[in-house]
Amino acid sequence: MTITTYVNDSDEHMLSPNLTEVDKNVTAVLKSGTDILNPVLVLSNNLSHDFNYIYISEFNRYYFCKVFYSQNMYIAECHVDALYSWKAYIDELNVIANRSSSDFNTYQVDNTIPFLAKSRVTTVPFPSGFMGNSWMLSCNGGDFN
Amino acid sequence: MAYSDLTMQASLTMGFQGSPSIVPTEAIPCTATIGGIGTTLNTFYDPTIIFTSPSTVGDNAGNFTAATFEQVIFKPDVVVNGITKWVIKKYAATTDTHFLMMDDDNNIHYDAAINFLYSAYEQFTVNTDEPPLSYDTSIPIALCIYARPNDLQHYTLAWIMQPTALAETLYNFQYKVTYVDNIGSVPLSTWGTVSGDTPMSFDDYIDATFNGVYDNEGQLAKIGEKGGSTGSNFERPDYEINFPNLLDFSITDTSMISMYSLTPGELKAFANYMWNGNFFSTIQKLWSDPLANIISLQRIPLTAGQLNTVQSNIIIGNCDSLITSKKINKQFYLIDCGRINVKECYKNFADYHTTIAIYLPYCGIVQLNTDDVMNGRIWVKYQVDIFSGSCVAYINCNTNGVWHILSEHAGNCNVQFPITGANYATTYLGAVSAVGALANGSVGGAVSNVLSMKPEYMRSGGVTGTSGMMGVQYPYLIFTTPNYIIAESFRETKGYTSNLSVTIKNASGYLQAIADNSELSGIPCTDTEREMIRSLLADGIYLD
Repeated sequence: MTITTYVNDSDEHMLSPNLTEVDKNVTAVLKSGTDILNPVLVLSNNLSHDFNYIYISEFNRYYFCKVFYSQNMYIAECHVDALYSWKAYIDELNVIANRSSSDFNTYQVDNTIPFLAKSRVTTVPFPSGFMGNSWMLSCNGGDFN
Repeated sequence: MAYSDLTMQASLTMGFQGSPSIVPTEAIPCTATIGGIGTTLNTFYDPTIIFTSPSTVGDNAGNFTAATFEQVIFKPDVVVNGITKWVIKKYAATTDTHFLMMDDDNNIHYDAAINFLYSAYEQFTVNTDEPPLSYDTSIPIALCIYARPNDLQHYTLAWIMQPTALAETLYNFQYKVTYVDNIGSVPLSTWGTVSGDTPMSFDDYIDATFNGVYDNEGQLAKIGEKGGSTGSNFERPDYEINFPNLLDFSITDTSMISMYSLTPGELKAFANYMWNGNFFSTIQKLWSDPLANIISLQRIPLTAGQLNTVQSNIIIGNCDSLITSKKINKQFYLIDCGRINVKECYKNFADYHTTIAIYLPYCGIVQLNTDDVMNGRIWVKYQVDIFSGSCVAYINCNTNGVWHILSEHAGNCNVQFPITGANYATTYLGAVSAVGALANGSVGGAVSNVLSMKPEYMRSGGVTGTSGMMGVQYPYLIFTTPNYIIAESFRETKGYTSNLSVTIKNASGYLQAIADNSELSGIPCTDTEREMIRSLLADGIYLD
């Protein structure tokens, strides 16, 4: 089979990884006893550049991979990138967002926001109040004329 | 001066301070001249509906150079002698619209006791006729309107200046309503804008919509920075609970007791009179204990000018002292401490983790429920009984356009001065025994009221009587606001809490989400991959 190799500088949580194509036509042989999600490939010996990500058209999937040289062979141990492989479908998913950079409600309690130990104490006076005081005498009677 | 001839200068300030549904935008000051054009009240209630664009002059009211109508502050720069009424009539499809009548911060307006009246959501009138009855400066009053889109069609706002209750002259202006996006101050919609001063039909307005402001269920979705829903429809009626009326009786009406407001000179003269032979020789004929005719000498927290008085000699029992003073003919008084806007600082949940306390003169410091006041208004009035010294502080809150008295706190604001030794014992030793009762837990009456007002944090002790008079004489709010520092990239890397339904292609940045099986089953992948996708979404993924 022929695979396309890339350099991926994104982690596995990126829906669309940042890929730089290295080689479109790398010959590879699937090692027996592996599966479609974690294939192990034996690569041709004329690799010109490093890579850490591949696309296998036969499987229609993208893979993270580690390449090492063993017994005069380049071996690529791969692990499927389920996000990017199924991006077209994932894009259409309607989900309930727990956290989001774009769709959020800041009035929900967010326990990940760290509060400082010291709060801010401020005061705001009302515009008016008791304006002063005066003497008052109370007596019995008083309507005497 | 004929009010119809008045030329009124009004300053118009846009912006928004109060509602969770519309958040602040940059204020754009502009001025308007309103004057010379009046109509009758009846005409006003059947107005021609005219809408003008922000940059044009079109209605019969005056000139507006730019406007949004979330918040408008009108400052009539005229002397107003009489009653100023603000009347708002709305044209709405439903009755769910909320109004907020707001006034400017810390301004003269607070000295005016404003009755907030409205009926059937159709109109409300603000009387600025108590006290004082006249103003010699501006009365900044702001109107803030927010509503759901189908509710909000058109508002007509006017103010009426009434020299008397019978002659109503109305200054009328009309303007369109615009929602403003909180992000970048970009108008979300300027529906209803028409060019020039072309009238627009009311039906055309009904068809207007606000794209993106509301969720699918018609709930307000513009909360905080962006997104959100207020949850299910909240249909519970909410009625105004206003300040109680001032008690209209007075002990002086009975002729059994008289109260006098004395200057220090009058008090000294009275003391001289009281201890001379004439006084005792007269009074002793009637009473075995002459001083019993003097009920109390008190220092009350009202100035002589605030009291309702008439010139009179001081009379004890039936004995005229011939000392001229002022006889008080009203027992209960209203002290309006004014109103404060309580604004959100952060525009997020942290605002509601703020603790708010209020210091009330003669009552102490009281912890408030943050939900009662945050993003709303708080108004404090006292009713004071100068005879007994009892006072009640009413805390009136308004967070949704309706005023409610949410708490009342009793105190005592008079300082009793002993006239005799026995009087001293009653006044001061009585106070000591009251404190002792407090310590023993056997509290009652006013003391228990004071106890119930104690805040969670002990910020003050008893502030009644003398100690109350030594304290601050105006209420103030004490905010203890949580303080947080958030990384600049927090939103992009961690996102904010959401609980919203999101289509992933429409989202951006960080997303942590729950996808149900029915959604995931549409992906033609293996079960293991499906589980991986579910797990990655739950952990959080980064979108384009």
